[in-house]
Amino acid sequence: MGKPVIQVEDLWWRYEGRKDWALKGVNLEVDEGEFVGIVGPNESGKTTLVMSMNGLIPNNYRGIMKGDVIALGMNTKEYQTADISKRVGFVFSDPESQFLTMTVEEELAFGLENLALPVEEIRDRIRWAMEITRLEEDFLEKPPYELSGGQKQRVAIAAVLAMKPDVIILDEPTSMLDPIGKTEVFNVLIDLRKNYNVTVIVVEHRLEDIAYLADKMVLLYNGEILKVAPPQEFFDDIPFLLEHYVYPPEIMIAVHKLREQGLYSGKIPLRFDEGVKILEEVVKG
Amino acid sequence: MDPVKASAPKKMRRTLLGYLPVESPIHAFHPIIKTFFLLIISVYPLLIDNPEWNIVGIVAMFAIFFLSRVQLSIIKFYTTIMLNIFWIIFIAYTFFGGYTPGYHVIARWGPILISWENIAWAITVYLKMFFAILVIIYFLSVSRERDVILGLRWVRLPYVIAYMIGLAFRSIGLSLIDFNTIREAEKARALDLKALPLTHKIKKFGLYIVPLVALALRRTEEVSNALDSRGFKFTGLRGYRRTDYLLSKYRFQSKDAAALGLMLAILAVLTYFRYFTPLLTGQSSALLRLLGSWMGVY
Amino acid sequence: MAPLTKSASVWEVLEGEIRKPGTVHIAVFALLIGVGAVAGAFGSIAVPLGYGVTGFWPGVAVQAVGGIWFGMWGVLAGALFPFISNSLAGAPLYVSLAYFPANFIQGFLPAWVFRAFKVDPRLKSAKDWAHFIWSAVIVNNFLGALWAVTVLQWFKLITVSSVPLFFSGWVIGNGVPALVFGIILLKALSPLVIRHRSFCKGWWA
Repeated sequence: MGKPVIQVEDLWWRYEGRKDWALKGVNLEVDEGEFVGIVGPNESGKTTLVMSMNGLIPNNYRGIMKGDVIALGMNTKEYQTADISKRVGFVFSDPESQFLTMTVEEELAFGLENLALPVEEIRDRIRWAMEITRLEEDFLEKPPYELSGGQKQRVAIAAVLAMKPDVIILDEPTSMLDPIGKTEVFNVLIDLRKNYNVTVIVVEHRLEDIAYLADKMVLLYNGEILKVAPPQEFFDDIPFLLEHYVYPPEIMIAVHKLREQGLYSGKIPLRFDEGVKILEEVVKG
Repeated sequence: MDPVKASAPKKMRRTLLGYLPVESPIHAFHPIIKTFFLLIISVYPLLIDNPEWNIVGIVAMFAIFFLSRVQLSIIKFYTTIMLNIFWIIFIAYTFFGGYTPGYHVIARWGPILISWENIAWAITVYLKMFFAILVIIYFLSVSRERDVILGLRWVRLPYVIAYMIGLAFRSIGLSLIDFNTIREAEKARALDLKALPLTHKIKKFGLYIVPLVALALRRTEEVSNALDSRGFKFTGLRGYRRTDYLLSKYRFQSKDAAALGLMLAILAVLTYFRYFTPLLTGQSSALLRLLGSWMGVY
Repeated sequence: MAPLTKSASVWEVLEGEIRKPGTVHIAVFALLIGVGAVAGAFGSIAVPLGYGVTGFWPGVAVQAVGGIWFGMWGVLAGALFPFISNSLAGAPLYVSLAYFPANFIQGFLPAWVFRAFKVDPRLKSAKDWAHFIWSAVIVNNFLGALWAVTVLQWFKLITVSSVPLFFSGWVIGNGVPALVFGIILLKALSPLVIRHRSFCKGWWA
């Protein structure tokens, strides 16, 4: 892995009018090219944490901040979100709310126009981003809000990808999608992981998908980071995760139970098919 | 005819008022032409009083609607509005039109005098309005938000203004989504405005407006975050160096110049007729004279 | 600048407080146009009197509270959205354009009065109520109606004798919803809005 691109240093954040701190002394480092999964129960501070990484916090919210967040050398207290966003892209959970224009083409071009790129490059980048996100040429003229949930979120991802940021943050990108939409979005993430050297930070509840994609998993609970580890190590302590309202995939829990009963002594599987294989082996004896 | 081709659904493009087939000839023109159409043709009815000429304009507009393949349902939607306007103008002019000595009184109900001159004015004004309204309906039927924005960018308006107007169009869509969400929620609680008489509808509108504004407020947060997250900087009217990718996709061609020239030429002719000849005045109308003679005025 | 005290008016800029226009104001401006156009088109289509004049126009409440809460962003949005809602309701382009000053004043007057006289948008005292009623219900709509009927006469769309009909239509059609919905909106949402970063203590931020 490369040099750190996001450094969160003893970050404390409290929203104006709230009594409790949303983040309490968070420390985190994300390296270049890493794929990081952030998990935790609702209200644990996941969105607050990722919003602090591109400067939305503290620039767009009122509150009290202690500590620092350095994104690609830019301290979020000193740089505007618009400047940081040129290198740290952000995809929101609600695909509907992040569209700023009336056609897919305008949506994809919007960020690129802000970057003041030449027209030819904008055209090339739109084509490139559409290819990665598997959007058809026909979509360009369509209003984004008339697409299906999965297509909408892919447009949102394409709009951010087209800007070729060094880091791309996705805040629960599948939370508002149906199963087909979720799969469509995850296919894009798999492609990004395999073929493009972009740093990805995903807040996600679908652990079965993120477990085998991530280089690093982060457990956030009540504003504090309780665990940062590679997936294998992260999912090794299932009771700890359950205790903190993080529910690993059923297959992991099943294998963990086998391990508890002494029927299996190996690693917790990160993929469904690995888990099935373990179960088969145990059944066969 | 190839049956597969014949039954294939027509490709449509969304406009401000509905959908327009992709093959509509209006798409062949530069988007700015639509804005010029609205700005220039809207002046025509202001210059014309003579009902026959306004009827010519109305017929021409219907022909343009037909040629542009605008869906009939859009015009149908405005039929009620057109009728409402007719009654309002008719009542305003005939019953509240006032009396000037020399007017030809046709009927008298108590203090209300119905005169031929007021009826003639009602006809004149209604036809002007009819023409003018058709122009705006046409514009809304064939234009997309993008056309309006491109028009604004084409005239080199500061980017932030053009963009804010574009975002405003997007916001109307968002507000309509919110409005429907609220309506569905109210329906779930057994309140359906559609089923209520008008007075109740008005009273209950309060139940809609508060959540509508509250949701808009929440959306400001989302929109502002999305703007910042895509590198948009608010720098007032000074603007900053920014590529205009969209505008670069369109070229103002000779057919656009011809269309614009034609619209301006007609405007010039009408202006001349209006101020240097009586041709466009109500007094020169054969139709009004004919109607007047039927009523025994002439 | 006023020190940070509990009794400071909502309009006073506190010590150390930095207020400058940003993307949130652009968003507010655009979204007010959206809400206003939807509310305005509802009235213009439901109870039309013609030429965009209506017997009941809830859009005016958005104009008044928009100006009060969001300063010039709200005033400008309030002046622009009727252009869209009137167009959708079938008003000719130049008539809609000519209404601009009327719609501007309907949002501007309450916005100015609330700032100039330090009126609390939460309508907490009798003074707040009185200022709201005269500036956001009566005088602004009276001035708006005056301009509107003048314009309609310029365009020869109404006769002198029908002026009272259209004038009263405008004043009542705007006054009643301004009073009812304006109060509902201010009472329900002002506590929320004044804490929001889009709230404008001055004209632009």
